[in-house]
Amino acid sequence: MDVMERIQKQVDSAPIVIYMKGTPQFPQCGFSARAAQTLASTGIEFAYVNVFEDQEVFQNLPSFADWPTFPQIYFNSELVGGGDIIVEMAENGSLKEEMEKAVEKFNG
Amino acid sequence: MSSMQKHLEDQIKLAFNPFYFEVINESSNHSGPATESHFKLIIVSDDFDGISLINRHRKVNELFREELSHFHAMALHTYTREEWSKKQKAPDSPLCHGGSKS
Repeated sequence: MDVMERIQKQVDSAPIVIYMKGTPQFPQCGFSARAAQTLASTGIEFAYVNVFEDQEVFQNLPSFADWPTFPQIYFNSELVGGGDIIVEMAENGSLKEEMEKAVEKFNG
Repeated sequence: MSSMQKHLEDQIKLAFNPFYFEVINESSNHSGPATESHFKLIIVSDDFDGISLINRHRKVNELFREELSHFHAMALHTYTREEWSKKQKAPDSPLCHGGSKS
């Protein structure tokens, strides 16, 4: 399977997916750590991909959704943005609601 | 002020006609030898009215496409004038873990 197809399958596999450096338990970048913590603070489950464990994904993800940086967060297969956007959404109160909607849509 | 910082400021002024902006070189907060590796941008502009966060960030990413390929991190905080008047402050940037450029 070609790497773009593989990434598409990953983002399709769960309502909320974060591509990060490291894992939520052992993050290897401050921005990835904060994004994962912010998602976790809602109490809603999410999937993650450690880009350091897959060089092909690491190299090709920026062109997948034309987004140059990590972490990247997807709701319902669509890029929501990077870590700064997740933090802004938590601050303005929209994050939990948007995550709940994503889960509902995925299950429905 | 570093030349990169001045360059970022000049480009932001030209591109967004900002009501307020800050370019902060956060490279010294991080381990590793690079002095122009981590920047934080706060941009308050009427250009962001009615535009989603992701599309605001896309505009800035597009403007700094070349520069971003050399940075380790660029924290980005974009507001409309109304949002900024309520906030007056952007979130602090996290500290990096480790000093490798990756």
